[in-house]
Amino acid sequence: MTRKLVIDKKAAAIAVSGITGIVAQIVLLRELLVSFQGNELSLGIILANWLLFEALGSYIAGKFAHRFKNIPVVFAYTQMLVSAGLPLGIFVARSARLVMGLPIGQGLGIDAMFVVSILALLPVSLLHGASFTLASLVLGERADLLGKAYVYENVGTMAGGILVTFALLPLLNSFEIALATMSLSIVAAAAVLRNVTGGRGYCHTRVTITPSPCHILACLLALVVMIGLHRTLHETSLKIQWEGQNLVSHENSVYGNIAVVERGGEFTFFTDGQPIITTPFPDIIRLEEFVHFAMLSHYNPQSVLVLTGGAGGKINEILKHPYVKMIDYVELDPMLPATIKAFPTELTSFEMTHPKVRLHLDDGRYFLKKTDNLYDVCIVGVANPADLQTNRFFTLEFFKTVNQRLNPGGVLAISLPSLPRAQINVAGLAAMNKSVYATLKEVFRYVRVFPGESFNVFIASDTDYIKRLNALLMNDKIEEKGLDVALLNKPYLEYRTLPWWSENFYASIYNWEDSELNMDFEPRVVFESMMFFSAMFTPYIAALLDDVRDYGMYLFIAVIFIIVIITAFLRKRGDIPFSIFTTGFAGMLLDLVIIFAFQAIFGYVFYWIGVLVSVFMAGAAIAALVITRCLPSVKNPARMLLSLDAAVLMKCAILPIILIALHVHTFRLIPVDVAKGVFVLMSFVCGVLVGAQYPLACHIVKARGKDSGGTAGLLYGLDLFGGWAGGVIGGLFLLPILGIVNSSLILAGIKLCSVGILVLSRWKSA
Amino acid sequence: MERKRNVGIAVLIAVVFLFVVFGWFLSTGGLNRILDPAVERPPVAENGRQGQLELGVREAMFYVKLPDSVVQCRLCFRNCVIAEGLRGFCRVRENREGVLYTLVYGLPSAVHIDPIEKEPQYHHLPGSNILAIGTVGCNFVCLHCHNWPLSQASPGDRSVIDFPPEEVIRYALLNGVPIISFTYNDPIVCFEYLYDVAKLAQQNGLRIIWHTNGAINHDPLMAILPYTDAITVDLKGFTDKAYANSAALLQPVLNTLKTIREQGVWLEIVNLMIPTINDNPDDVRRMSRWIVDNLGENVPLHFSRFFPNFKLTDIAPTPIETLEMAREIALEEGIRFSTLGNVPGHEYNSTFCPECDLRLIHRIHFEVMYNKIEDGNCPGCGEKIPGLW
Repeated sequence: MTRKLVIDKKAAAIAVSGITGIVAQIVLLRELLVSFQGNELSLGIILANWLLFEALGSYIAGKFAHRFKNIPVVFAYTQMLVSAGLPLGIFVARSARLVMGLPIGQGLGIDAMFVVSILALLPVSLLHGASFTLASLVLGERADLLGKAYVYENVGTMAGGILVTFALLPLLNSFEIALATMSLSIVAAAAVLRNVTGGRGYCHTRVTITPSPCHILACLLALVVMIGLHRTLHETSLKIQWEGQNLVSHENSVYGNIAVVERGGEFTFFTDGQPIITTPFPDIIRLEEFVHFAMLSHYNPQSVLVLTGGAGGKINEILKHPYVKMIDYVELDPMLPATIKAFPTELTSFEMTHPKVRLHLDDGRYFLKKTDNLYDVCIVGVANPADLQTNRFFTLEFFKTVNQRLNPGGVLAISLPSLPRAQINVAGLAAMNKSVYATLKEVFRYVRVFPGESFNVFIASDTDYIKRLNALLMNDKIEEKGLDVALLNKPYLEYRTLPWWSENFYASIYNWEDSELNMDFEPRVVFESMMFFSAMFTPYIAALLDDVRDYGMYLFIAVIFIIVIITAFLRKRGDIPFSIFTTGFAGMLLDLVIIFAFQAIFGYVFYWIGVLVSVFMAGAAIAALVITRCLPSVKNPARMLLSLDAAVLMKCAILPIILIALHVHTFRLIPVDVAKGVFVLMSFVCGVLVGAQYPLACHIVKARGKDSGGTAGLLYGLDLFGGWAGGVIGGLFLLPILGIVNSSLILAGIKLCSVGILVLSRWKSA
Repeated sequence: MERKRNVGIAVLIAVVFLFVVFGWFLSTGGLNRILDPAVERPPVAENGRQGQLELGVREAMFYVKLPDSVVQCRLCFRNCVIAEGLRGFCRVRENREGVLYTLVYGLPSAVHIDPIEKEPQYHHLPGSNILAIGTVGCNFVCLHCHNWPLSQASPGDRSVIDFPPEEVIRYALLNGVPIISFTYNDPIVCFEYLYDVAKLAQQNGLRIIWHTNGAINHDPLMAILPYTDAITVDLKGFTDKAYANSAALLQPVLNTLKTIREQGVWLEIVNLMIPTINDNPDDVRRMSRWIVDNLGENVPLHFSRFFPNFKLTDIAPTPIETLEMAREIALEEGIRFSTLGNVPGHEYNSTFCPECDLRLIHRIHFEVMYNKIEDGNCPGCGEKIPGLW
């Protein structure tokens, strides 16, 4: 009875380690995204550094574990240190600008992001990686127990992910979450330490003078809560992060962070650190040009669709058109309209309460697929396809969907970044505009561009009315409709339609006919956006990214080739580690591909993203558990591992076919629920294939004579390192540059190498 | 036997897979992407051909030779000491074998016809067009620079136009543009080009204006002012903290402002108000008082609204209330003409008579809706309105 309880407590402690890890990862990711203004590049850097340091921590712990006399005690202390490191990481993340010595208001470039993310993540992720290796040894030295530790960790990760995303983040601030995590870690550590002392407490003499570390920490925590130190830390760190600005609101939703700054009676709303709305005096130039160029491009617009970014001026400008009868305004994050309502101004109150405006809280693309309404004008409020999520509003599939929901003569209006005088020959920017222009031309018969100083307005339609629009016509329409505009007078319109604007723009996008289209499964423009961002902050990295795009594939293939050769040479020592590494790589990339494809079809539905990730983890945990239990009866673990590796290979090869089929036929031949079920199944199968391999690999490596600590450290580290590579190389380069299909093929090629090495190793040993 | 079976299975998988992979590669063009990734891809930036770039090389003005082929540029406050083969802070002045050269003479990267109000110069031929010229390079590094693709670029980073001074004059005359302006980047760094164009412009009855950060040394300033009709100076703030955002200093700018007024050249000042950086009312008051005391009450002072740009992305836009407050303070301190910019539709975008408050020039952004000034005077009260009309 006692022995069973001992194992369960240790299992719980390992699960808590999983919870702590995922909570820390998600909280720090959120905080860093706000400081880094949340684009795809920053997301990749943060995830990459987290996984890398976890891998390092795991490996180092594996190397030195044998020196520790009392592993459970070290594990318990490590646990507590991980949770103690979380508030420190949060503070560093919020103090990013101060840490880098940057002036108020300056954004962070890629180099600064690297440094700050390392400082914020290193203590927590390194120790967490080490804690898994130690956790594996806490259960015991047997090979099957290494697998069990993996299971418990995965269960904890899954539970923690759901808990923090859906329960903790919306209700508590980051320091409160850290406090809760610390409490849990202390309890888990105390349980482990109590086990160590045989249930008699830490100090088993009659007179207990020295309290345990857990007791001390628990008392400290209680003190922190009593004096409100966590609130002080929260407020102080926010003051540093928003220095000089009067922060009046700072909330987290499941989609991200929304902050509100007040100054001079005006409110500016930031999402993930980026200013999106200023009210009641918005950027009139941007608003009037974008909205009215779009509205005037239609003969008589009555029904208008606004996809994100409507409040704060766009809707107000649309409502100036007297014949508008209906505006469908779609916003993804419910917290944004709620926050706008919490800080009302005359402008936003007018927009949000106008009887012609219908607010829909949904993903814009998903809304378009579901609605039966037809529109005269569709305005997309996303201004920069900076990540895979926002890029979905600039793809061929999206433009086709919009075209189907437009009335005859209807127009689509989008905008992209530009530069003064529309001279956009800067890294990434011209290519971005070129690709989107070509993609629009693929769907719509006519595309008119109004190049601008800081943004270009693209108007697309199947009627040539937009081509006939000139300054005189626009001015006549403005006067005829009695539009109350501040900027768009006749001289200004004449200036804005001078030929040199278009000349500069089209000179910058020469050869656009040969440009690659931007598609859901081939998100070319995301990489261009990354390059443009780099050109502003770190021009040398923009040049590097350009080289990566041109030659990176050669380099990648060469590196893989070298690794394969070395691994093949190492034979027995290299085969299993390489398999685990490539499976980690494949697991991460396949997970990204599945989530990415899901978003492309169904939109950014956060609940479902959470389901897919959880199902993946569940698959991994269940598979690891089953394999661990069945290991004693497995006659040929190496063959089983080979079969699993081959299954991953087939998965990589078959997945693109399934995804393309779903992408094309969902909402038509394939019912929505069935399609979602297929995604869930694919995630589960991915998790199973990834999770099943780890305990098998541990068993095989241990059987070859390696110690448990070294085995766990090495293989878990490689699994994480593979995940790192999948996240960075796959997420930042393969997916944006090659798209889903080719990335999956590359992945399949890599797994083929792994299968080949396993076969070779078995052949030589037979 | 088992080994053979395993090998056989593996080979079969490999063959089937390779077949499928090959087919996919061909169908999706993946092979093309690997073999020829650079097909039809635009360059990162258009580069001028090296031969064309050499057209822009001229020996620089205002530098001294030092021992060991080192030179010191004496154009701006930085007074860069430049070793052989290296360039100055602005990136467009290079030491070649002990001689300092400008690299952008006659090679602008931006040439456009703009309204003069874009500078802004509100008291100079309102509603006129200017031939606006800009090269690459700058002696400041402003985090919020609107023209960063030019100002932070180096020769070769951007496409250039072969536009020697004679061609500038010819183009302006051909298009009926009465004023040539050096703007976009700071014209201090292409001083030689500015100087030659200015001299030619004066000979041909054209006006020369330039928009500058004002951090130019006394001697070059005195050399160019006789050929200058008007200048717009960007006064970034009135503290060294504000100038730290541009990696620069305040005092050299103040010296320049005084010199310009002493020489009688028409001067207008623009201040981009950035929240938390330079919008402190006390600083605005000190700045206004200094302008009145040192430059006179008739120097127009324009306050512009800031929007996040370039690297300064984490600050909210300037509140309208802040701009209006700044203008109020300026008027209280005695400045007679103060306007607001980047707020289309705001009444203080216009110019008002300081005596009778009549709206003299109705301006919306940089479009002049009407100009009531008659022979340089207010039609309402007859007050003389300083400027170049």
